[in-house]
Amino acid sequence: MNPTKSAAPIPKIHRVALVDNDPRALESLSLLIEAKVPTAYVVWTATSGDEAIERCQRNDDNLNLLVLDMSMEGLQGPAICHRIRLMDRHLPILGITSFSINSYRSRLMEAGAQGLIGKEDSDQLAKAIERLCGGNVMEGFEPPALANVRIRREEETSPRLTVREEQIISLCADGMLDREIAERLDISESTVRKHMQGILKKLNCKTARQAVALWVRSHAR
Amino acid sequence: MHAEPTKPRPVSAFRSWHNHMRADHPKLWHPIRITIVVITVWWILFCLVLAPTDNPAAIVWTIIEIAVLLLSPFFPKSMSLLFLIMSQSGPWLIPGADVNSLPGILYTFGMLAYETNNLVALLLLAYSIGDQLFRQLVLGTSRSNPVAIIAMVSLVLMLGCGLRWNQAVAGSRAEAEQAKARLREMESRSHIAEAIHDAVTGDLSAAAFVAQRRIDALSGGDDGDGSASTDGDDGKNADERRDELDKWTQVNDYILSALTNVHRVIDELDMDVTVLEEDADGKAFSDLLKATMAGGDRRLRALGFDITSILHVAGGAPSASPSLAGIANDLLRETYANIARHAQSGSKADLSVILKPNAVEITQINQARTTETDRTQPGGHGLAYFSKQLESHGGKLETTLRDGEWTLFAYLPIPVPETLPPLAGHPES
Repeated sequence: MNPTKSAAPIPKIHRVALVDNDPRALESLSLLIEAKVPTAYVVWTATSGDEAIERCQRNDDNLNLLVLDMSMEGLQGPAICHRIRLMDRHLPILGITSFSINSYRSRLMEAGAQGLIGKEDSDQLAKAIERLCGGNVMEGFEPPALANVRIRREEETSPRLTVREEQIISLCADGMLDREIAERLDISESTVRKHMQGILKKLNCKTARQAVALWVRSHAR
Repeated sequence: MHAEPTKPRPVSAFRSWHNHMRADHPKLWHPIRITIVVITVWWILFCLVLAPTDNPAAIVWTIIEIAVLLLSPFFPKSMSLLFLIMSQSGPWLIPGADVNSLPGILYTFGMLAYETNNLVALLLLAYSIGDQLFRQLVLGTSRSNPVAIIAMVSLVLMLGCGLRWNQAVAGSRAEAEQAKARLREMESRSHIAEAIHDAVTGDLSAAAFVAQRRIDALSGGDDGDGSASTDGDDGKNADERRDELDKWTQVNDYILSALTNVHRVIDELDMDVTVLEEDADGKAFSDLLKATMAGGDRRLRALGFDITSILHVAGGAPSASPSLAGIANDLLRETYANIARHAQSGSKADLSVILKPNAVEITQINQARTTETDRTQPGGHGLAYFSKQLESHGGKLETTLRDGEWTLFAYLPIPVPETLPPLAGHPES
């Protein structure tokens, strides 16, 4: 969490923060940025999503880029990105992953990031950091302000399922009947049916089958 | 000197009625079918008169058979089958109900072969052969020539199948002709759209570009070609500059309004919503929006805007009805037109379209023009219309103009189909 200073002749003007649950990965990333991105320096690092969200919320570091690992313990990368984007409309967020890019690309774009790159290619990673620090975004991703507007409006407009509704549709997706769901959640069958009606309305579906298909699809990505 | 309204000639009136009947009542209007039914009914009645029965139940049975035959043009399959069952079982159930119903049986065989398929026709032929052999060899009660009966049945079944095949071939040909005609129309419309584009939009875009540079120069102290000027340099005072600015702004608005209208006409000519009729996987809808975005991006770039647009499919494109797809596409066009009308010339504009299986979201931001105070200029009323349209479908359109930044967010829910199509290119995670 200490600023890394460099004596390079090019002025270090871009302030970067790193988030990864692996301290060794953070160290490697810091060294990579030091070596390959002459205009950038690491302002702080964090090993948990909550810590990163808290620092971004304080907004006292004037960051130019947040580099965020996708596979975190607890809150996952896209969820952390979504929360930060909801409160910040300027900070570019670059996702990094050692898994397949396709595993996270769609979810991260929807969460309001500006790019996603594999950890394995340090040259590409350095280029992506330079690009995002320069105010650009990677292809297929939204600029930060646009993503912020969309996500804030989505929160207000698109109906979201309550925790209880998520539990019910999740159990329904597991193949459980209304009676079994009611027993599992210790509620009455009529309450389950009432919740299901709410779910159908929110997901704009006519039947429980449609709603489950939609739910499974949106959670399989 | 008005011409007296003339009565339609009888031939024209008959043609008109004939066309009306064929179009509105295709089952009722089938002269050959009706004629066969009438002949068959007369035949049964004639046989009944020729060899009257004393059994009232047999008379009622025959009347029911006639009624079934008369209903067969409306319900060809069910009534034909019912008549067949009645004519075959009648002599076994009711004494005296053995009126000669061969014409009716032949008619129903032909009708079933025409209305169903080859398998049913073969089954009917097999039944007919079996029935004749049973009557001839086992019962020995047949008074007719079984070979002639089987030959007649075969011919009737072949006639029914032949007419069905002919209809299928004629239908395929008609479809192919329609597709050809549609293609020709699309090509023609595309040529007209290109011609309008070449003839008008290039010059209008250039004129708008010049007008916007002049507006920027007058409002920012730059004369439009990069050199700074002051009131004293070009001899104009503040009032004259303001007056000139107003005039150029008005000219620019007129040009942009004309450009938007021309683009609307071109889009209408280019658009082919018929492909959206069967769009289970949402591909046609997605392609339509992509095409609109590509065209909009090109036009805005021609006007000097730095436009960034993305279309993202989140979990599968929606299977939108043509009307909902039309609303989404028209709103997208209106969004592009609004950027051209109201965004600061040469500024950055960002647009994203997110397609979900149950909704479409359009988000757009840009810097508003410095001279603009609200969005009540010519052509700016479209968003109010779209807001109502979206609300009527359970959606929402929200816009803000704050600190010189314009934002638009549109949410249009789309009903989910009964079975969601598989997710193309779905990554394994």
